Amino acid sequence: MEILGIGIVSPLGNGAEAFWQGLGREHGPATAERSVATSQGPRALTLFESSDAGLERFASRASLRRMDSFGKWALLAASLALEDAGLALGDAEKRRTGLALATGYGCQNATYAFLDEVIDHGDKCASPTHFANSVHNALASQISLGLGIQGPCQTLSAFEQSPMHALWCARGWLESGTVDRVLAGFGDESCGLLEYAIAATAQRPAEGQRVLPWNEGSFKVGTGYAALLLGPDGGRPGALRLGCLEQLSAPPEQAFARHRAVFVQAHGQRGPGSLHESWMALGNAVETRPFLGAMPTSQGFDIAAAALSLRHGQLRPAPKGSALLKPGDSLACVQADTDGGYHVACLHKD
Amino acid sequence: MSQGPVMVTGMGCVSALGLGAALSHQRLLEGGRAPGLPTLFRADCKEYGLVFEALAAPPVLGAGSRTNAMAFLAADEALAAARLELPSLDPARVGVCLGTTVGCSLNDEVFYRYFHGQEMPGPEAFVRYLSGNPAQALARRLGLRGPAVSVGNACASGTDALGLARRWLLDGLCDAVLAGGCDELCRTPYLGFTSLLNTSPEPCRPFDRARRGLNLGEGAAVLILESAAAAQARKAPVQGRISGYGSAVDAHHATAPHPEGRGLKAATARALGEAGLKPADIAFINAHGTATPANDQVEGRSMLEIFGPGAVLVSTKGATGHALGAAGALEAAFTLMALNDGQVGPTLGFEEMDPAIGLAATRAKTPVKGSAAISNSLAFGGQNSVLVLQRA
Repeated sequence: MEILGIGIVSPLGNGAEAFWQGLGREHGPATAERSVATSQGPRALTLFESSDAGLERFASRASLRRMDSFGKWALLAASLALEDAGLALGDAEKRRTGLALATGYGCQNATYAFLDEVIDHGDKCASPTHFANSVHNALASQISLGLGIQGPCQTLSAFEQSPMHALWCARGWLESGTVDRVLAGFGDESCGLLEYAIAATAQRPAEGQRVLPWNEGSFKVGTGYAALLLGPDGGRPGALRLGCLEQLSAPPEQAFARHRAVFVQAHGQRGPGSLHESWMALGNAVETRPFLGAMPTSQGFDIAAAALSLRHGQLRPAPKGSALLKPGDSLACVQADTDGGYHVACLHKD
Repeated sequence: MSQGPVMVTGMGCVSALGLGAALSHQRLLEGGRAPGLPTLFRADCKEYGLVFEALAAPPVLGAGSRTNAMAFLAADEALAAARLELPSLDPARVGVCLGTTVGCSLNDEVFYRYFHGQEMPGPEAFVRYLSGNPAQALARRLGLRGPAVSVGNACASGTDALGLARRWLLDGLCDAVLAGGCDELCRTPYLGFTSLLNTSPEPCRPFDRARRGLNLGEGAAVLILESAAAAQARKAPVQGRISGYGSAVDAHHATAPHPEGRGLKAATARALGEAGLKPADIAFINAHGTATPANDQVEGRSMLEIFGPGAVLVSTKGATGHALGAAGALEAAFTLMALNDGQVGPTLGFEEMDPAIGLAATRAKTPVKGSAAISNSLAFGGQNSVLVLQRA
């Protein structure tokens, strides 16, 4: 597949250029430090919050009236990806464009806004707007309504495995000729309950239970939305390409040897010592977590960062040693999941 | 890349009709139903919508939720029917793809009420949620290491999960996939659909002139999908084929279908195209048929336009209620059983044709003349999804 356009809503700013510039700093702009009270005492969390700044360039205020912030991020990222690709979709193109979206937690704030109404005012006061915005595919709805996209659509959820599923789906549609292009989206939001749950769960990392990735990163809560406009590999010289999309049962150490650099999403709980530490020690691992915090769909942001690195010929975030990329260099993005699998996406630019 | 059919070699169903695919089909033909007020939870509504509860479904140890328990029961039945010994397969080549709405949401209301009241609840509900994604939970239970994902396309999730699983097989990602959908009844969708004025205090009447709205339901269905080559190699008991799948979004409204059925027509054309079939090849339509005024009018008129006045239209939601993320998977299984049996059941609640639709639904057991049928799902977000199914 070719990456035709990149749209980002992130704590580093909105748009591919702002994201790229932000990755050149020493670390990301943590937007809030919170002390979350739990029964075991207070726990500090760092939040990396995103905003919908710039959406007014793409959508009227009236059309956004019933849209919550998560929906706005998704629409903005999708609009920015089309703009980055220099593409204005005509009617026929809208019917030949698919949506393959990934989310780990879904639309949390709409779900809890719905429950807030019920708890505070009674069952009869349940809000139809909050209910409609609470379903996982509400973001697909906002994107399709905002951009007029009428192709096939999937919203996929498997925590940190979600981005790979969206990419497989996109590849299947493109290679089968079902569509001519796919907007792949990756995003998560935060909310008070999630922050509380992270803090409360951290007190009791039960042996053998599936829990959040246990390392410092778990307490850096990321938010945002990344969109990639993908097309079939047309053999264009200079195109940004997404190559392998693999799910592996064994640690993908060969990726570190094969690629110029590897963007890692790893945790510290598995095996002897910390997976995160052992990968970072390999020398060519880079991570976006200090810039963006952690969320289930972080791999989507890593792929965007890798694609922009290839576009600019310079690796960001910068690793130890040279950050310059040579023609032919390839990059990989590796996501470790808490079920023992590894998800590898490879990128290169001819 | 291949567009051919994939084989269905096993099916398992749980719904208000009972436990088991064959029993469900028998009861659909017999035509009994017994919706009632919710007993699984309490609600305080101005007008109470009736529901179809799957009360025959027992708890399953370690399932973590009623949604997952029903999925596990359906999967066990499907695996047995397919005579599929999972240890004989490479676990990395077996996928799980399940549609759901509540199954992948952290909407545990008791947990949230404590949090809302600043009472610092224990983290058990959150830990359970992290372990409870239905597809991942089923994969973990069966020791499978292939792709596992829950599809969150609201009421079309079950149909879309089957469509995605078919794509995995055609793309060579898997040798076999457990695919379907699962959803339990709970207060969030009950109050949500009530707030949208979409529910009926009477037994629902799909496509009827006097229809008032839907009855929610619950359940699960799991189908074992295999490539034609894999099914043939192990002499699997093929129960049918998924020959085509199409999906399209309306880009019209967050909760209402496009008035002309734009997305539904596009999805139908895409599904028929993948199957290499014409509208005349379709023996019957298993409609989404929720019994809401808007859905049934748009869907019925679209089907009339595509398939003509002789189309055989059936909705099984009169017998199961609307099982949300499970609906499309249950209905795909029901469709295949009707094709194999050569007869489709009545649309319970349908009596008088709506002149605004111009197409009647089945009133009694009806012979199936042909080998292929379609199963439709429409959903929030303007999602439209269609499967083309063919008998064994």
